[in-house]
Amino acid sequence: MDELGGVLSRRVADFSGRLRGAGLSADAHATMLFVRAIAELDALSIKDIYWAGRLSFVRNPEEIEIYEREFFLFARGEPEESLPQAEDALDPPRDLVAESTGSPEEIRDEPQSDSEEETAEVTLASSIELLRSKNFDRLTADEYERLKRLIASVALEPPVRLSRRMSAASRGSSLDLRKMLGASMKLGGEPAVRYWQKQQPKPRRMVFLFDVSGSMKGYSRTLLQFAYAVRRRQPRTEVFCFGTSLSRVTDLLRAPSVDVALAGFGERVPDWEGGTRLGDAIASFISGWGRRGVARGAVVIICSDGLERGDPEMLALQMRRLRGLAHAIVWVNPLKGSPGYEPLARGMAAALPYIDRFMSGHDLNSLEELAGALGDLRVRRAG
Amino acid sequence: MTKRRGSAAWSSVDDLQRSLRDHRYLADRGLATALHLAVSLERPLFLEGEAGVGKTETANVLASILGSELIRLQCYEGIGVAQAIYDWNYPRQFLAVRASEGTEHHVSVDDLFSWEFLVERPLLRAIRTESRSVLLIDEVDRADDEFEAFLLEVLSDFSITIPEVGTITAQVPPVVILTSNRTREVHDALKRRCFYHVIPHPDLEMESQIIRLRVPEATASLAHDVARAVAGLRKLPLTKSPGVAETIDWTRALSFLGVTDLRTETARDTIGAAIKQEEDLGVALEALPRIIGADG
Repeated sequence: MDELGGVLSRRVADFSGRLRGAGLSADAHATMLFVRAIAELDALSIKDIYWAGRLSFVRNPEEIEIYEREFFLFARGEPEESLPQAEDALDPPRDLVAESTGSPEEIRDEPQSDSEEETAEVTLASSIELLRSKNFDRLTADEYERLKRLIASVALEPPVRLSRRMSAASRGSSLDLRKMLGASMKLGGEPAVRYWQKQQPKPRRMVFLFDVSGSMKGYSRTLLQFAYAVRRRQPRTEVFCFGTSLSRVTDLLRAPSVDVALAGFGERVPDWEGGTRLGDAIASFISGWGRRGVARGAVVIICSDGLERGDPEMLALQMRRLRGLAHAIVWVNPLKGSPGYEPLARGMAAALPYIDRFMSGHDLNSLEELAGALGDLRVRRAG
Repeated sequence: MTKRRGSAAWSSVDDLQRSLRDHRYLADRGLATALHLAVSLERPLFLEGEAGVGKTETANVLASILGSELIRLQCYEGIGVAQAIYDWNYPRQFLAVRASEGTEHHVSVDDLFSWEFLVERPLLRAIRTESRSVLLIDEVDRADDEFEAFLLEVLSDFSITIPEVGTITAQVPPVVILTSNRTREVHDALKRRCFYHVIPHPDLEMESQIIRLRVPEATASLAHDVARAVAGLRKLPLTKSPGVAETIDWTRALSFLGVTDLRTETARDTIGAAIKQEEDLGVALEALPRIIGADG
C-alpha cells in the first residue's frame, strides 16, 4: 500500500506539475483537494479521476478546456507539448513587446544626449514639457520609455458612488440608533440627542473598452498603460480589448509591471491589427459582461477612433443600451487631438449622442485632463 | 467499497445522482460528484453558470435530500456584517430601557448587548443551528471585495466573534454552496478553498428529461419539441438565453393550452414564457419558423 501510495503521489505531483506548465495555478491547495477527492471517491474509474481533478484544479471556465486537454494527454501517457514558438505569434505584437520590455541595462545604456551633465537637468525638465504635448503617435523609443513613468504617476480623480456603509456626520441621511441608545442610557432611555449618519462615498467601477485595431496602433499601448495605472489605484477597474472580437484582459493588468502587462496584451489579443466592428464589440460586451453587472453604475471609458467598419445604426443601438446600464460614458478619441478634427466618421457620429464626455487622450496633457475629469461626470442629458 | 463519512443520505455518486432524480432534479455526473465531495469532505462548492441553469435550485434540492434547513444569503453591492451576520435590535433596546425606568431592575448596557437583543442574519444562523444546514451564498460576485475577505474568514473556521457576546463556533459546519454569475472575478483565495464547478446548459436529451420530470402533464413529444426549440433559441445572439426555468415555464404554458406538438404559430403566441427581453423578441420570432420548421 505504501509503495502504491508512493507511486500515486508521484503521479499526482507529475499531473499537477503538468497543469502548472499549461497555465493553471495547480497550487498546493488544489493538489491537496485533488488527493482527498480521489481518496473519498475511491477513484476507480477514469471518469471519477477526471472529475476529482477538474473540481479541484479548475477555477475559471476558461481553464476547463486546458484541463481537459492535459488530463487526456496525461492519461494516455503523452509527453508535454513543447511551448509554442514565439515565431508563431502575430508579428505586430512582437515589435510592441520588444519595444516595451527593455532590460534595465538597455534602459540605462540608452544614448544619453551627449552626456554634458549641467545641461542634462535643464534638458530633462524642458523635454518633459515637450513630452506632455507630444502626440503618442509620434513618440521615439526613448520618449516612450520616459513617458511610461509619467503615465504611471498621473493624478487620478476616481468617480464615486454612495455605499451602504454609514459614517457619522453632523447632518446626515439617517439616525445612528446605536449611538443614540448609548447616549439615552443616561437619560432613562429618552432619545433626546439625535446623532446622524450618512452613506460614505465609495469608488465607482471604471470599465475601459479599448479599440486595438490597426488605426489605433499608435495609441493603444499608451492608453493601456494609462488603464494599468488606473487599475493599480482602483482595483475594481475592468479592461476589455476589441478589434473584431472582444476579450477581457483585466487579469493581465494584475501583472507586476506594465511591461509584463503589455507583453501579455500582445499575446492575448489576437486581432491586434485587424479592423473594428464597434457595434458588435459593444454588443458582446453588454451581453457577456455589462448586463450581468460589470457596466451597471460604472463609468465606461471607450477608447476608439470611431472608424466603424460595421453598421453605424447597430452602433447607435448598442450605445443606447450601454447608456441604460452605465453611470456615464466617456469616449476617448485620439483623433480629436488633431487640429480641425470633426466627428464626421459615421461610427463616431452615431455614437456621439450617447456620450457624456468626448475627450482626446492623444498626449500626456490630455490623459491628465481625462484622469481629472473622471471624478465629476454627472452631466446626464434628459431622455 | 465506498467510505462513509459526512453524509448518510447516500452511499456513492451514483446513489446521489438517483436521489437528486427522485427529487426531480437531473444532475450530470460532474455536478453529482461535486455535491458528493463538498458534503463528505466538508468543503464549500463554488458554482458558476449562466443565469437559469439551476445553481440556486441545486442548493434547494441538496437541502431536502439531506433533510437540512436551507439558509440563503443573497449578496449585493454594499452587503456587510449587519446584513450577513448580525445586527442589534435597536427599537427593542430602547423599549427595554424605557420600560425599566422607575422599576427596580435598571437595565445595564450588558443586558442590552446580549443574545436577547441580537438579530440573527444568515451566516450566524448557519453556524448556530444544531443540525447541519445548507448555506447558500448566492451571487457572491455582487458583494464587494471586502466582504469576500470577510466571508473567507468565516468559511475557514466556521466561527464568528461578536465582541459583546463572544465567539460562536459551529457544532456541525454547514454545507456551503456559493454561486457566481461572474460579473467580476472572485478572488482566488476564496476559490481555492472550494471545489469549483460550472453548470452548463443541459443537452437536448437531458433537457427533455428535465421537462418530463418537472412538467409530468406534458406529452413526450411536446417535451422533446420544446427542448429542441430552446436549444435552437440558445444558439441565437440573445442578450438573455432561456434557462431551464424558462423551458419549464414555456412547457407548462403550452401544456396548459392543451398543446401536444409545438408548431410555429403556438410557439409564437407563447414565446413570452421563454424570451423575456424586449430586444430579444424580434430575433427570436424571426428565427422561430427555422427552429421549429424543420419537422414541425
